[in-house]
Amino acid sequence: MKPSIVLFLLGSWIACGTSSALAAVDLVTVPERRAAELTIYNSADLTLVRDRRLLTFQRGSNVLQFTWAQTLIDASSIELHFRSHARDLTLIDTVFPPAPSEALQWNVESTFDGDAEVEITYFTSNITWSASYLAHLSQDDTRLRLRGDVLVTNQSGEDYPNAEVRLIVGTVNLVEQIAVLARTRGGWSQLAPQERSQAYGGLRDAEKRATEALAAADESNGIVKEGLSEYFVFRIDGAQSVPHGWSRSLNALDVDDVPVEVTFRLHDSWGADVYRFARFDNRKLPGREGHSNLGLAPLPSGSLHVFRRSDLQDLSFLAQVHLPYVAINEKCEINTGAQQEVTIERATRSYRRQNIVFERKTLRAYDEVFEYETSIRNSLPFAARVEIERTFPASASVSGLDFNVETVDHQTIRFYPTSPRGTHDTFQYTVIVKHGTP
Amino acid sequence: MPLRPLALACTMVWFAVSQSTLDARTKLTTLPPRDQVRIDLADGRQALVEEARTINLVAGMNQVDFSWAGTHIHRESIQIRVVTVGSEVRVTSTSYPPGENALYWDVFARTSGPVQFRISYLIDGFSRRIDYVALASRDETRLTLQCRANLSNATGESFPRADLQLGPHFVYANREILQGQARRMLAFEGQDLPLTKTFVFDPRQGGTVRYFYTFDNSADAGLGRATLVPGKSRVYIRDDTHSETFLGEDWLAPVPVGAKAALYLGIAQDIRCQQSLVRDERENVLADRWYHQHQRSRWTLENFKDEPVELTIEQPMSGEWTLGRVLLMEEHGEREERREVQLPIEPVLTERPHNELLRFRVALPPTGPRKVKWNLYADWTLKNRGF
Repeated sequence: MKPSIVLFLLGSWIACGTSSALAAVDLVTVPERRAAELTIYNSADLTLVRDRRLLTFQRGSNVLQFTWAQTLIDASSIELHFRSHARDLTLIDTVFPPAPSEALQWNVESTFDGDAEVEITYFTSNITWSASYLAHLSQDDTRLRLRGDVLVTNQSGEDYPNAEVRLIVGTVNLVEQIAVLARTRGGWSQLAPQERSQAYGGLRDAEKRATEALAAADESNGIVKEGLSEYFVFRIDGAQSVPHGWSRSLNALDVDDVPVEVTFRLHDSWGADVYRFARFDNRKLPGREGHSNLGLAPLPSGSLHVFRRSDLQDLSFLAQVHLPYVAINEKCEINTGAQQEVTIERATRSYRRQNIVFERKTLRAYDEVFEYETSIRNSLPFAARVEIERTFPASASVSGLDFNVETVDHQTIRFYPTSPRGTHDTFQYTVIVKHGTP
Repeated sequence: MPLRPLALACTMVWFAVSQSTLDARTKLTTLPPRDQVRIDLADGRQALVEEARTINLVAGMNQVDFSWAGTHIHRESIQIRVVTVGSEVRVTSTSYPPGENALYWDVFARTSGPVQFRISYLIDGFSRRIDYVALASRDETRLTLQCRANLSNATGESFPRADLQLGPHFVYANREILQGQARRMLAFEGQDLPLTKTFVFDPRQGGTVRYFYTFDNSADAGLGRATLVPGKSRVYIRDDTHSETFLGEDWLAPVPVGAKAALYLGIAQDIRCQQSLVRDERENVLADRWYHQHQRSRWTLENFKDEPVELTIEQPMSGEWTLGRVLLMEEHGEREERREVQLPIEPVLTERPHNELLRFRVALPPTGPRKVKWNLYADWTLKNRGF
């Protein structure tokens, strides 16, 4: 049995009083949670909980006590908002009793007698979400099927039955970690027996409701995607039950026949292997709708398993990689790993130094001249786009290539030969690397 | 630890009391109540407690005893002052008994009767923390800013009723602050403050574009009454479902009246800026010991948002340097088909706010399906280096 979040309306009095109510519990009401909303961030261990309850206030001063025993709530983030009768209710102040005690007390001044909806918001940790993807690359390297899922896991110590769940894609700045803040005010609170009993009772109810809601959950829950400031919100349709210790996965994306462009890359910094990269655009495809289309939302970062799918629908594993965040209309590149169908061999045909400058018996400058020969062997049944990136220790100039040469930076160049199907082509080029200053 | 560690007692002695009597001090059990307590933590570091107490004095010499078990009061800071106007009362001396957290004052009164004193001392264990909660409008042009003071008491002493003076904005009358307790109180709220959102790329902060909320601490903007004191600021935004979403948090630096506050909230991941050094050549002036370094930097810019944005690019510089040509190119095609077309420089504003910084402000259109990608080039020479 574990404790939970409990909200007490302790009582009210006409004159502004002291906080002795904390010690002498005058329990009037334990309002049930009407609704909850979880906003879960993936860039940090952070979840914003919005918890709505209906309370009965009396004219004068009212005291609310909120306890959160054995949960991972950041006490400094707990806020009280009045969602109805906001003009009749004033939060005078918030009192945190001496530690160790996972409780606080709100002193509220009311100008009316009656019910009002309040919203309690707080940050908790250990509710996480992550994205994962499956990609099936067609046999001819031209099409891709991409499926994306989101997985929500609750290890926060609190159950959230019938909660609206929103997932935030984005990187928020945090100056302190919520999990650390959550542990700064003691352990299991020293609740009065009545409070403790109430907490356990609330928990049992919550567990029961969570189980019922989970059983009744609609499997076709969709995900609504919308931009908000610099982030993107994935809002899961319908109420979700997220009991403590459970995980829940939902499909966010399933797009077939995504046009894909495959290139074979050899970079100096990667060694002698040639890697296959599959590239597609996160852009709307004509004639598709909803989660069967790309370009409606960014692709959150997550793990990606890549398979090749044969014409007989058999799968073979290619790679497991991390997919970085992909914005709308941005291209996405997947490194599917080293392969053997396209091989590139490079040899230095000649090497010499020239333009050597000495000054006062000191070497001041010289050029290194490299003549390279590169051969590309393509055993695929289709033409291969190749990308070769060369990095040199100093500024270099290249000549003798029939391809466009792109300057990546002052030490790095890149060029793009194409290798027809089943061919073995060879080409030469010259690189001059300048050292020193004449 | 005693429940009431601060004890104030008054011993009435006759004028001709001897020194030996003083050594054998009598501590009375009747305590004059505090009439009023003020806790001043305006400087944020050291708490000053001022207590007003009414003590019944007899004509002649009186001994007022003050002790503080279980608290850390700075003994040398303890002061007593007579408040009652017109009373002929004098504190003639202060004595400190050995090995005790206590003192007594010798007080002379010409006539008998109640006299109000104010006792002040510095005490350790109070801490003041300021925090802010801000709520941005959905279009991010307006901001509601709440400032709260958080006072926690670990002094060992409880103050059932105290006036709290925690800074220019933070004055609270008649609040309880018990030992071990913390209290959060609203200080002020600024409604509908004009808000500006900025995007900044600075290579010293990693290869990402960061976004900031900025607002003025001015009367025009709805603030401007005093310096905004430093504190943690959590920022939320109202969204389409009338809910609020957390955007990020930052430490607010002190913001004087008339100055601008800036809060770094997170990464603008749909704005990309990638910097490369595409030229780095040395021109010797005298052997290798004196040279000019010619450099060209390229920033590749993409805006995957729906609307245009202004991106600020900050380039740290040092020493003597001159700025050369600044070019804006639009990149078309990819791989072997990649080419650049020069654009007018108007979307780029170049600034040199001081010698250590080169700044560009770029009005960046959305990349969109047309995949607009800009390359900004800047040449500079780092002059007279190497000696």
